[in-house]
Amino acid sequence: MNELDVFTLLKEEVKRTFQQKYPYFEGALQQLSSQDILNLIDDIQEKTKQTVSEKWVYTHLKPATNAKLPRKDMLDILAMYAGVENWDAFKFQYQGRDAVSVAKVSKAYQKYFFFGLGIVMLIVMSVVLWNTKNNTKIQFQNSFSKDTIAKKEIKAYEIKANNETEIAVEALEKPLAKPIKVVLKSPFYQSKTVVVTPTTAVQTIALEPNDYAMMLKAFMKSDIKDWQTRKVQLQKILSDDLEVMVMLKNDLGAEFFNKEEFAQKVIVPSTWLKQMTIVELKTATDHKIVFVRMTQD
Amino acid sequence: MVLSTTAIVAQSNSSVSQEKVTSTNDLKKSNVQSISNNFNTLTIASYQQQSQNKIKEFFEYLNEYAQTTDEALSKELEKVLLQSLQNENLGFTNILNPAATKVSFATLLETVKKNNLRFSLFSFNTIKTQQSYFECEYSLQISQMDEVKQTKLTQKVYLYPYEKKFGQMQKQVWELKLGDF
Repeated sequence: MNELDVFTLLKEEVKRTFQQKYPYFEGALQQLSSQDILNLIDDIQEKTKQTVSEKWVYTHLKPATNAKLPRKDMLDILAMYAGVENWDAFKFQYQGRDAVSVAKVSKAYQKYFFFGLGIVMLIVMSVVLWNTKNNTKIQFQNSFSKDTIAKKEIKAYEIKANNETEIAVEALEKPLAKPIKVVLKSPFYQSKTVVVTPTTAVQTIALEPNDYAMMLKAFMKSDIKDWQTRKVQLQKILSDDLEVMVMLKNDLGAEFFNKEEFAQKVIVPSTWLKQMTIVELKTATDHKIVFVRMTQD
Repeated sequence: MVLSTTAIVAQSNSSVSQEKVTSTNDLKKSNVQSISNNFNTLTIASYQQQSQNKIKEFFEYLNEYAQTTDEALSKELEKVLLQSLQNENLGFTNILNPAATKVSFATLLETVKKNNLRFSLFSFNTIKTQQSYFECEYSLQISQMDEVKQTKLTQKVYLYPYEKKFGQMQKQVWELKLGDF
């Protein structure tokens, strides 16, 4: 693998890092729009405290293939953005130590190496299997679509003597001494109380979706087209008493929007809105959404 | 072709007068409501970051407004743009001719639409925190057909307490609204 191949891998890592902040960016770096490039430049500056120019992005990142390697100081910046100390450290991950010294390892040493590796893998697998023997596997499922629900959308509260104590969803999968009663809550699904029993079988828990919450979640990630449908639907699903609380960075400070203001933002969703995650949602007795708490991704 | 111009940043002639106080009581009220009296440094930094997000969002909406030929969508974009402003009577730097007199919001929209302008923002900096607003400085790239201009703008973003209605309910919240540039 030569340095240009490694640079191609670095570009992939840059794209992955960019998508952590802008998850709606799909496709390859060749498809970066001028706004995407500016967002990328801002993100690089924020994470590395260093700047790359628009022209540099057009010259080195956008092309599908590169005829030559960029300057090392620019490669260092990109490597840092991708979460590695510098270009040399990134290169080392793929090219390894001096290829010449690898080639010098004799066949005899290789044989002993793979034998030892096999033993280690057997031991590791045994330990993992032993530890997971008594673990319960829990899967959450949308009761209508049967789609798997991401665990990050669910919060679990153990019920003990009429008190609810939040526990990690993953804790339900650790070995349990006895059954525990848990209430599962999500902004997008109806709450459900279940008893989780110690078993090695996969436990599938079906949750009933909150249709209005699902619609709102989808609307917030929409493109601007179909705005007229959104406008009509939002009047239907949002309560007149709606309060939307947007938590700012690190939960320091908040902005508040009423129904009119929030609906207007969702009718024409901006990049900022698409980055928001609903963490809490309440509905009234008529199922209309009456409270939303959001945070930035 | 890229031309570099530096905007002549005129003093705000916004109809919002946050800084004038005429009595001791007004001064006390003004101090009580001031940003620094109500928030610590980290929270102020969060609001400053959000101010930048709001400015970026404003120009993103302007880009959509310039591009769309859908009359009804244009009206929706006007509403959301207006909603982000502190009030509808702000004056804006004439982005095609910064030396000229400031223009109204309606004229800004007309200019953007008529010239099919496209905006990109970068190099944000909050240069000042006053009693009730932040002053943000940024570079604005304006594309018009094949021509690209760049100008530096300074914009106020107001943060102030406000009794907001949520249907039947009312409560005091801190509002973050864009001022003029």
